[in-house]
Amino acid sequence: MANTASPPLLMAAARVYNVLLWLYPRAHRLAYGPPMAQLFRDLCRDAHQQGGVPGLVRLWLRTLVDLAVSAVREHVKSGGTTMEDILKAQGLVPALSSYANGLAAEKAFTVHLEVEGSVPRLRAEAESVVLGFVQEATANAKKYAQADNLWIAVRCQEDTLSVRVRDDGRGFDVETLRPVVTEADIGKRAQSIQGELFIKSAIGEGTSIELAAPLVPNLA
Amino acid sequence: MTEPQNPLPLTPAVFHILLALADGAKHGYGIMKEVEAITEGQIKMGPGTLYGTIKRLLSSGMIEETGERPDPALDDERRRYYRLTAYGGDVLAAEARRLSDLVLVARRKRLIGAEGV
Repeated sequence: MANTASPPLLMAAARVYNVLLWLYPRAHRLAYGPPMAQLFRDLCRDAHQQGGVPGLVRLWLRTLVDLAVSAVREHVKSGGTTMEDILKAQGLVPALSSYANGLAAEKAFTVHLEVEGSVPRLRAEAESVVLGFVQEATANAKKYAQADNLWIAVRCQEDTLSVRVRDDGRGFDVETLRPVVTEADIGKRAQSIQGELFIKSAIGEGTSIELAAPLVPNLA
Repeated sequence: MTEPQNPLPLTPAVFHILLALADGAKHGYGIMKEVEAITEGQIKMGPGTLYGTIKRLLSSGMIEETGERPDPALDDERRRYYRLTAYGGDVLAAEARRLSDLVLVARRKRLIGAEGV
């Protein structure tokens, strides 16, 4: 009996675990609930194969403690750590990575973060401008683009930092879009770090907005 | 660029996950099994601890999700694979050196022998 597969028991365990995932903050649950549930199913299968029902009970006891401790930790961390904290402590790439994970969790579109070259620390104000640029560009894409994919590409080459937000959404007439973007906050942000905006868009072909700024005088 | 020494010392969960990824991309179950193996069963992380730590490692840029699947034929395509970034590798190496230096101190103080016993 101990090593006999018992799908109903394992399925019931997985169902209960799925319910308990509601203990986690919503963003964490959306991003990591499915792989956590998959992992728990794998662990149930192993525990049952190796130790039968007592093995499954031991796994449950360990998992309940893990659930309680990690759910509290996620609530505390989600309430205490802001994007600005990550930007200040770790720099642009970790902050963009965290932002991209948050976006991915919302499931508005699939998010791809691409980093090319070693991105140095910039002045706090410049890093904040670049993060703000990405947030505004992605917010616009979310609102208007109806895209399936969104790419955030950061490239550091010689003396220039380039950050591009591109989507594969419905696209716009670029001549209409350019003055709107340039006059909006996004354009003012670019000017404040002596950056330039490059906008490409066409109906049905998505939109790309790039901010290119000189590293000097923006380096920390 | 953030210095690899800045996040040191690493928590045991972070160190073991990075170590598990040192020889290639793995999914959550693979990471968990590797951690169990390299610690001879002393560390058994639950899904909550594992994915909470993975989330923070992704945020800090030490690991990244990869679309590459080492063995798609043997795999469930819903699984997510993670791999070390160059920065994560540097942090892991820096922590390994820090721990190694501590072991040297323990040897000098004759707490352990040359074989670590």
